[in-house]
Amino acid sequence: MRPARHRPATLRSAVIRAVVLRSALVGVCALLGSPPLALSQSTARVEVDMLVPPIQKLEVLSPILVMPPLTVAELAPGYVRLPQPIDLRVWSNTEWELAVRLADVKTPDTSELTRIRCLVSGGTVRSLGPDWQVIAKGQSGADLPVSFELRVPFGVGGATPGTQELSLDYRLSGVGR
Amino acid sequence: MATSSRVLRTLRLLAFCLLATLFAEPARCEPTISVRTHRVLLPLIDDADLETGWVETDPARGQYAIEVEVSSKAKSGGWVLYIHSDGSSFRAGSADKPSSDLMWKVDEAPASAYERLEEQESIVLAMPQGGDARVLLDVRVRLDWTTESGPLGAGIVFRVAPY
Repeated sequence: MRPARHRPATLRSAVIRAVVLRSALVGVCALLGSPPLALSQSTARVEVDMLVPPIQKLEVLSPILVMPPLTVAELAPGYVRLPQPIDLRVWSNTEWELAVRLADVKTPDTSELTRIRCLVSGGTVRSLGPDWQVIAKGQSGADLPVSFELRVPFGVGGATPGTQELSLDYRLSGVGR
Repeated sequence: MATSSRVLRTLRLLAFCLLATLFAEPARCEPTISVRTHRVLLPLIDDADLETGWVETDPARGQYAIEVEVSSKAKSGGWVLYIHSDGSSFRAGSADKPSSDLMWKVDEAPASAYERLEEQESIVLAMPQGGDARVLLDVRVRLDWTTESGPLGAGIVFRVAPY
């Protein structure tokens, strides 16, 4: 009988003791400034994100080249070089390549078009035609110079009288990734 | 007698707890910090940004990138707000872009006030008298044509500490 009467009191005492001990622990921890109990947030983090797309820019410094009137001596080799190189500037934030093709040709003798030659400075001679021809490659950077010369042939019988016009297409694109 | 002694002991302990909690109040009132947004997305980069040399939150429209709120009771003393990067370089991207290319300034300050974000802490604001504060910050990321394409991210860490 006695244990049955004392059990509630013992239980109550244990609960009180537990509550008191917990309160004491909380109080002491708070006194010491324990972070978990102080519930303070002393740091914060912010993420800064951005997206840099592939960006490229091409500038043609000499969009129109006009040949001066040709002399007989200049026609003798069967071709003429344009009086000055074609200068381009490339801006690219990624690895790039520059391709060229013939866009439009107005010449009395179209049979000689396949012999149009493109000489890139520091490079090799390439034939230009309706298909894209890569003439330069490079790493990312700004204001990167590309320069090339054109050699325009004439027929075996010499230059056909008349106006000859030549247009080029340029294509700047990224390579790699 | 035994019961009253136990009650007295309990009361003493409770009084101790109460006092401990009261004295602990200053410690619990250390300044706290919060940020309104945890992610800042800068505008999409274009060639003009690469020419200019940076991209930033638009100051012309009075925008700011980061809003930091510091809460502190004035009686609990002053505080200092620090800023630093969480790494030496940006994450992602193919190139090793240093996190110091990320710059910051207080929103009202002129553009000349931009400072590089370093791994070491720099002081954003000191409030010796304590109290609450709302700090608005602008961010700028240095760029040029050698900044390779791709996503870039960097972490900014703020810390508030007693003055």
